[in-house]
Amino acid sequence: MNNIISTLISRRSDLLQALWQHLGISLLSLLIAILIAVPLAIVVLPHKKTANIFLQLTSILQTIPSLALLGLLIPLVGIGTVPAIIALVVYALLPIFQNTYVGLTEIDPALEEAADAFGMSRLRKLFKVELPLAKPFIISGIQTAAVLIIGTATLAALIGAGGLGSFILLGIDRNNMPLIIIGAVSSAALALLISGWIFFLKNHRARWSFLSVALIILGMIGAGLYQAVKPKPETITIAGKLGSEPDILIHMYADLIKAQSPKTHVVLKSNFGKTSFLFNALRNDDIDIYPEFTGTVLESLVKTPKTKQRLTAPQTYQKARRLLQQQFQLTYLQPMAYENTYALAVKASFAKAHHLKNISDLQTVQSQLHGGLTLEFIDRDDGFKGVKRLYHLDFPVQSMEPSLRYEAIASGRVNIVDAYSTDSELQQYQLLVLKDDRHLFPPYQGAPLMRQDFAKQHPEIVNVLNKLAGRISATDMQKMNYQVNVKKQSSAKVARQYLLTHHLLKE
Amino acid sequence: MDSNLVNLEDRLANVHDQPLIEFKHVEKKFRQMVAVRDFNLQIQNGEFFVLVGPSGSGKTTTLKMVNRLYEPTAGNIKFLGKNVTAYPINQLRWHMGYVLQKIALFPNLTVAENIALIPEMKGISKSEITSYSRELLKRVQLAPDIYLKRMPAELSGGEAQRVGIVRALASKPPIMLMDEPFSALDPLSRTQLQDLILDLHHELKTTIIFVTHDMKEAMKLGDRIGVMHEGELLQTAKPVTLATDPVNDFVASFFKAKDVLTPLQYELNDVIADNDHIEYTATLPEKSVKFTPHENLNRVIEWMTQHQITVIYVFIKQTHNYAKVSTLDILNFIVHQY
Ligand SMILES: Nc1ncnc2c1ncn2[C@@H]1O[C@H](COP(=O)(O)OP(=O)(O)O)[C@@H](O)[C@H]1O
Ligand SMILES: [Mg+2]
Repeated sequence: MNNIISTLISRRSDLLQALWQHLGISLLSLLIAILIAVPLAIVVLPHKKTANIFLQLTSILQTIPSLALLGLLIPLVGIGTVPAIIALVVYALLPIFQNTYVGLTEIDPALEEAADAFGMSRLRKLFKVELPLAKPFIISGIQTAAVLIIGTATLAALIGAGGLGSFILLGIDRNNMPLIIIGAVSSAALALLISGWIFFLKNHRARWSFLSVALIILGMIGAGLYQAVKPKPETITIAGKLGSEPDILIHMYADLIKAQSPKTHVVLKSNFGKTSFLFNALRNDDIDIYPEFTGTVLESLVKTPKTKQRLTAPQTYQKARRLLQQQFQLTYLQPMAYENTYALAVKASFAKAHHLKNISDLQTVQSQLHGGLTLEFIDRDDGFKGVKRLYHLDFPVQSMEPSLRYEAIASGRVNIVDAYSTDSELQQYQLLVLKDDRHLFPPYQGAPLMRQDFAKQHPEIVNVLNKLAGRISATDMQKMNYQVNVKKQSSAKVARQYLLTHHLLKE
Repeated sequence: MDSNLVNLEDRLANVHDQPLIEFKHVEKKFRQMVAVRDFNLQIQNGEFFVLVGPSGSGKTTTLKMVNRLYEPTAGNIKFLGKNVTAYPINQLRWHMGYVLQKIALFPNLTVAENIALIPEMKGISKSEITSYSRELLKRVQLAPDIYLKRMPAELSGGEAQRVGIVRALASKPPIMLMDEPFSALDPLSRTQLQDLILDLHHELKTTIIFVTHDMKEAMKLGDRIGVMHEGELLQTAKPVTLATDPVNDFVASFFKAKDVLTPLQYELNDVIADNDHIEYTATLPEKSVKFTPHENLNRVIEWMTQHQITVIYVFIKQTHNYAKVSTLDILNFIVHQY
C-alpha cells in the first residue's frame, strides 16, 4: 500500500498526463462513434433488411480481438492515436447502433401516426418526438460503449497512443505491481465516472446533454486548433521501449541534439512499446530515432541465415548494420560500450571469498552452487542449457519470477542468479556479474537506429549522437538504472548528469 | 384559387354553397383486400358527421384518407373544392385536427408543449399560443396553472383525452377528425366528454368527422350519421331517419344492436310520461294492440318490429283510457335519454 502511494506521488504528473490522454482518446472515439452510429440507425430505420445487415456487420466487427484489430490497422494508418481511435470507434459502433435502432423501432406506432397527422416534417418529428423517445435506449447504448472504450483504450499504449495502458504495460515490464494497480484502478475509476456522468445526462433534459456534449466538442476543437496553429519548428521524434534504460538514453539523445541545434523541437515518447512496434513506427515515419540492441536486430528484426558461428560484439554490430541497411534502408549508428545481455551474477562477497571473476571460475565451487533462474533462462539454448554445455557446469536450480530471484539471492536462499547485465538490482543488492569468457551469451549493444533518408538530411544529428559511441559502461548503466528505479530520480536528470560529468555536454 | 391555405378564413366564409369535404368514388385496397369501396359523401361546413359501423368496416381507413395518412387507390377526396393532394401535405394537416382513441400525447413533452405543437409550426406567437391554450384548458375544465406543466403520464384517461382534444383544437382547425376518441374511457368520462365536444362544436362551429362503432354515441352526437359495413357506406341520414327508415336489414339490425337497446330498461310508462303530445282515446280502434304501462320497452320494440306494427295502445288505469304510442314516439324518447 505504501508502495502504491509513493509510486503515485512520484508519478503524479505522468498519471495526470496519462489520464488526460486516456480521457481524450476515449471521449473522442465515443463522440465519433455516436456521430456515425446514431445517424446510421436513423437512416436505415425504414429499411429493415439493410438495418439487419448493419446489425450483423457491427457485431462481426466487435468479435475481432482488439489486439488483432490494432495490428491490422498499423500497416494501414501507422501507429499512435489514429489507429487507436479507429479501433475504439469500431468497438463502440455496435452498442450505440443497436440501441438507437431498437429505441427508434420500439416507439408506439400511435405516436408516429400522431406526429404525421399533425403535419410534422421528417426532421421535426425526429428531433421533437423520435429521438427524445428513444433517448433512454440511446444513452444506455452510449454508456455501454463508453465503458467498453475506456477499458479497451488501455491497449492503446501498445501502439503508442499513450493513456493509462502505458502504466500497466510499464508495470508488467518492470514487474512493478503498484504501477499496474494504479493503471488498472484509474482506468476502472474513469469508466465509472464517465458512466455516472452519462447516467446523469439520462435523467436530465436534452438541453443539458447538448450543453455538455457541445462543451466537450468545443474543448477538443480548441485543443486541436491550438496544436494546429502552434508554430512548429522542425520536430524530431525520439521513442524508447518500455523501461528506465531506454528512457535515460533518449533523454541523452535529446540533450545532445538540443545542445547542438537549440531551435530543433525534440519530442520524446517514453515507454512507447515493444520492439516490433517501435521498429514499424520508425519505418512508417511515425518516429525518427530509437535505441535498439544489436542482438535484437539479428534475433528478431532482419532476416538472417542461422549460423552456429559465435559472433563477437563488433561482428554482431557490423552484421546488424549491414542487414538493416540492405533490407530496410535504415541507418544504425555506432553502439555504446555496455552490453545489456544475459549474465550470471553472484554476491560480491561470495566472489571475493572464492576468487571468482569469470563464469569458468565457477568450476571450483560447483558443488556449493544453488541457482535461482528465470524460466526463460533455464529453457534457452543461449541460457542455462548453454552454460551446462559450454562451461561443463551443472548445479541444482529453482525457477523463479525475475524480481524474486534478487530477493532470493539477497536472503541467501540461492547463491547464483541470471540477470540482465545492466539491471539496477545488481547494484542494489551488491552482486557481481561474472565474465562470459567463452562468449556464450550473444552480445547486445545499444545504438541509435534511424531511417537512411533522415540520417542523410541530418548529418549533424548523426555526428552528435555518435559522441555516445563507445561510451557508457555496464556499471554506468546499472548506476543510472538504479538512480531511476530505486532512488526515483527522473530519467531526464540522470541522463543530464551523466553527460555533464563525462563532458559530453557543457553546463 | 391558391393552394397554400393562407386565405382559409375567407374561403371558409364562402363555402355555404359547396361541401367542405367531398368523397368521390373513393376506394382503398390493401393489397387484394378492399377496405373501402365506391365511397361517396359530402360533408358540409359546420356539420357534425358521424361514421358508424362495426369494427373492420373501414371507418378508420376512410378517415385517414382525409388527412392523407392513407392515399385512396381510386377516386378522390376534395377539400374546399380542390383535391386534397393539391395542397402541401403538412399545411393540409395543420388544418385538420386529429384525435385518436389511443390519445397519443407525446410522453416526452409537457401538456403545454403538446398543445403548442401545431400552432408552433403554423408560426403563431408564443404568447398567443399560451393564452389560447389556457382558454381551451379552462373550457375543458382543466385548471391551466396545474395542468400546463404536467407530463402526460400524470393525467387520468379522461384528462388526457381532454388534452388530446385541446391539442387538436389549439390551431383553430376548420375541421376535426376524431377516431373513436372516447371508446377507451370509463362510462362517466365518456358521457362528460361527449357533452363537451357537442358544446365545443356549437360554440366553435368546427366541422367534425367522428368515427365510432357505438350507435348510441352516433345517435347522441351526429347531425348526420353514415353507416358503414364491409367497406361500404350503406346509408347516410339524420339519426331519427336512420331508425325509422333503415335502408336495409343490416342498418336496422345494427341500430338494434345491444348497446343501443341497453337504455331500454325503461317501461312504456316512461315514454308516455315524457311526452306532452301523446293522444289519448277512450275506445280502442279495431285490430289494435294493447299493452300495459309496465311493459318493458325492449320487448315492445322487438314485438313491434317483428309484427311490422307502428302504433300500439297502452291502458291507463287511473283515467281508464288508452294512450296512443307510435314508433316515432319511442324513438324520440330513446334519443332524448342519451
Ligand atoms: N394498414 C393496413 N394494412 C392492411 N390492412 C389494413 C390496414 N388498415 C386497415 N386494414 C384493413 O382494412 C379493413 C378496415 O379497417 P379499418 O378501417 O381500421 O376498420 P374500422 O376502423 O372500421 O375498424 C380491416 O379489414 C383492416 O384489417
Ligand atoms: Mg378503427
